[in-house]
Amino acid sequence: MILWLVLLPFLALIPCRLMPRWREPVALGATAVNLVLALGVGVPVMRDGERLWGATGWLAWADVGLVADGLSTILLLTTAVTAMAVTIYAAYYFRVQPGREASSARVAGRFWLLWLVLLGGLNGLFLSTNLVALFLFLELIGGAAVGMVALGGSQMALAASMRYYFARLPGSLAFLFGVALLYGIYGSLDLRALGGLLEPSPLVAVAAALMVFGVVVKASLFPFHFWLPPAHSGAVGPAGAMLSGVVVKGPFYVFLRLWFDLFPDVATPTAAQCLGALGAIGIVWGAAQALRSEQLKLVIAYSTVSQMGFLVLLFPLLTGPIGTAWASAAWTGGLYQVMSHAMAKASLLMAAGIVLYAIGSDKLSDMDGMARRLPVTTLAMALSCVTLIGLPPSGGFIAKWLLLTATIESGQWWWIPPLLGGGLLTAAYAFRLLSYAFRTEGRVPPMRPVPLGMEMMTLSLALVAILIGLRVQEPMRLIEPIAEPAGMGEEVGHE
Amino acid sequence: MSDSGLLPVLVVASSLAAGVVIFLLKEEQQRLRTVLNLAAATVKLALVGVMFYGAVFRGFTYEARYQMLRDFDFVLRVDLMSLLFLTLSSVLWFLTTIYAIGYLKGSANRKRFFGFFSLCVTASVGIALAGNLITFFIFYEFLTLVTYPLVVHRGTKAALEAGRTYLLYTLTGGMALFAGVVWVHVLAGPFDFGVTGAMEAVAVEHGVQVTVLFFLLILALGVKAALVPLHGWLPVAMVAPAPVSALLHAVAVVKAGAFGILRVVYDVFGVGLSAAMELLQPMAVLAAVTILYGSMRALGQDDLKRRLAYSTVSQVSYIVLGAMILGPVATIGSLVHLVHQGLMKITLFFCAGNLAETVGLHKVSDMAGVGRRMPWTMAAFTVAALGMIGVPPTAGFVSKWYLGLGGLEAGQPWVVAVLLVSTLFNAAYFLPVIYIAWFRKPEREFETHRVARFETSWTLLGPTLVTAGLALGVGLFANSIFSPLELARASAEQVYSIP
Repeated sequence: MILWLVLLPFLALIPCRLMPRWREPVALGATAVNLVLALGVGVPVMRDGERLWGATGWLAWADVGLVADGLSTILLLTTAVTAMAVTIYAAYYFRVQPGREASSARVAGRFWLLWLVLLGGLNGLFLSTNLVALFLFLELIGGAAVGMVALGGSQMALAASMRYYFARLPGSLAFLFGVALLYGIYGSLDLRALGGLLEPSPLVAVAAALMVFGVVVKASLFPFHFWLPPAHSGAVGPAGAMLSGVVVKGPFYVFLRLWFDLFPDVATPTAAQCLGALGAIGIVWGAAQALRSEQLKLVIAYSTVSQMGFLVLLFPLLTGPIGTAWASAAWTGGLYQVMSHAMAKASLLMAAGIVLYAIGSDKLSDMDGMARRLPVTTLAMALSCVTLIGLPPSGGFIAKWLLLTATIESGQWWWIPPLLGGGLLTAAYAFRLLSYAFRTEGRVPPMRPVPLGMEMMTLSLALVAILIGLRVQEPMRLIEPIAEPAGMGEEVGHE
Repeated sequence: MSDSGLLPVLVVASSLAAGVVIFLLKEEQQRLRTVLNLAAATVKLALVGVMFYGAVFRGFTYEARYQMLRDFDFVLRVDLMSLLFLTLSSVLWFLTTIYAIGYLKGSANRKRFFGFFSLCVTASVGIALAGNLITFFIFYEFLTLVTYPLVVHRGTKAALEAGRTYLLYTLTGGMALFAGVVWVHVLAGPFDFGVTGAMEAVAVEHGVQVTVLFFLLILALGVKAALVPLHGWLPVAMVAPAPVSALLHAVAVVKAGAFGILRVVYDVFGVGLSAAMELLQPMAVLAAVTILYGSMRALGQDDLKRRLAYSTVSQVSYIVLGAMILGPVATIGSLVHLVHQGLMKITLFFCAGNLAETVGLHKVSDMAGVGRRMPWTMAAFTVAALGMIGVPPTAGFVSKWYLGLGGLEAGQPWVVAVLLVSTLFNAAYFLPVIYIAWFRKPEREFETHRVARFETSWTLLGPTLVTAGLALGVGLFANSIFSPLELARASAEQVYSIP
């Protein structure tokens, strides 16, 4: 089953290639099967703990292992659910796209190919334990993402995609170089095997620094975020949703793996505090830019920069100077933030796509009276904003609650201002969006009717982000077991 | 003892469901919406009645519990204090719904209005029923959110501006409260309201933290309770339609803050700890300052609604002041004022709405002789205003009597002085309104925006008269077993563990 999760999207490329007219149904079907498979992996992992698909048979020579543990499963499921909603949305999106029928169909066709590559790449990334495989999947995702940005078609989208590509390049090289160093020293590429072998040394530190640099650039963590806003806001509606919601989580996932599985000894508390500081600056910087932007999609894209900062706060909270009672809270809080941000952000960008389509502009000042004219979309936006701000009841609230608990319990009170202030800044730009929707004074531009399915997909994703805040047990069971052994066990021993 | 968790859930669900269904209806399905609104309000009223009877006369407990995280539960529970707030909000919701139906007749976006209106009541009912700090916080923030669309309902520049100010204050307060709630949780572990030992257990070891926490929580809640200098949003939020202001001032937002303060003092820290750590005095002074400041500012307002808003700033702090004076009598005064202020203030806002809607009056200085044009409205206004001043036998008199007595009992006679000065101010800003309306000659013909059989349409007049009657009745019959005073007394006895 785990193997199929990786293979299926790639296999689906074959019929897509052979029968271009069937791309949409094939992609839809593949995404649906993917969701079923992810659930099929998720349920047993939740019940019994780790599930291994070992390095056996013809894959063994390449030292390739696929492992689904709680962390992988959470990300797999988040991806699968988000992808499902976005795929259905995308199907409507490309049908209603106006004008230039032929070119629109061509864009759609390419989109579906890239879409399948992206999905397979993400699944592979979340399951692989081999460093080279991780690298390859990261590149695959990156390539698909760059292509999707370029699909926007405009001069700006092309520029943004080039910028995206070149910004990623040094990150990729650094990561690969780090992997090579490790292989040179220890002769292994397996994440778990290496984790046991590693001993702190200058060379290992260099490798760690290179690899961390690589993922930081790819995850667009501050100060390497500059490529993200134009890319994510320039991409076509559904692509932007996937990029900003899920794809940024890919490198971040690798970051978590590196930090806690591979380099627990090298990752010092000082380094964690420095990362946290960058995260805090990122929160404020992204929010400030979001507040200044006049375009809906740009506001949302900057919001991603800001929200990724919250995720980075996870590192200092987990490697603090005191005991470990709160480590589990920080870990679960961080992963809850990953899940809820993925879905809320995707929903927001889907909503932005609807607005752009309906009124032909995504300037904030053109959104007058949207609350009345697109009530479902506005509701979806409002609910997503609730999650992003971290207001109850929502997944974001649970995340903030746990992160704040960890902050206070660990005595690292200096992270309280970024956590809470960041929430307030989020509220500031979120309500700035919403207040335009409630405004009735400006001119009301004509509006195209929007298919209900598009609005409903947007809303349901926002609702899932809210619901995971109400029903916490199942996600918790996935997240919590790994908080003790994989994340924390070894690391605290060395404190 | 009968343990039923269903009733509290149903009480919350009745308005929540109404709100959701209203959103699903079409804007034009006005009759269905009205029926639904009134039915939900009636159902809620009946459920609350059942719980009131069960809890007060039969000693039943009602509790619903749902585990959210491993170490915190979502708890809805009925105790006497929650009954006070619960009864107030469900009765006033019923009346305000009728009023709002009349008030908004023919205006745009009514579906959205009534949808959020129902959610707003859901939030305040949830606040009343919250059985621990976390549940309280959840509904408290929910209230902030669902009130925003009501404040900006008109969508004008002024409304959006007011909405921004409202959010700035309440969300910042909310974040501070969030920090406080998590901190309490980390420090003392999870505990329910009514179990006050938890904070005491850690107070010896972490005295400083407990003290800081107390002020953090009270000040965070003080934003909604409009304690000076955190009151800035309240007068601005006056741009909202009259039924919203009425509900905001009488039940929902400011009361949520005041009720939260009561919970923190009595159910989180407990009277014993608050007394031992001498936490209350500074807050009592702040409340007193708020009372006087609000009254003083009210004097200078010519806009009727703004005058009422500053009056709210002042009056809500009576509740806070009562909570900050230790002693059962002051507690009774504080709890009973929670209800009394609600009844009186909602009457006043209904009246202001009637005047604005019927004859287009917004300013006190334009009100000359309006008593002749709208005698019933002005009669209701007079009753409520006299109540605010504290003239016997109105509701306000009862509250002030207990507050003053409580101050004396606790050995803090300055409280009486504050009450007296504030009463003088109250008289100074309400009596001229009454005088101008009844005894001054009309300067010009009144416009008529609404043609109705009575002085205004019955949907506007009816609720106004009922609330005015209630404001008078709870004072007159303060000794009846159904009166808020009796409930407040029983609740205070519970708080101080008097058998």
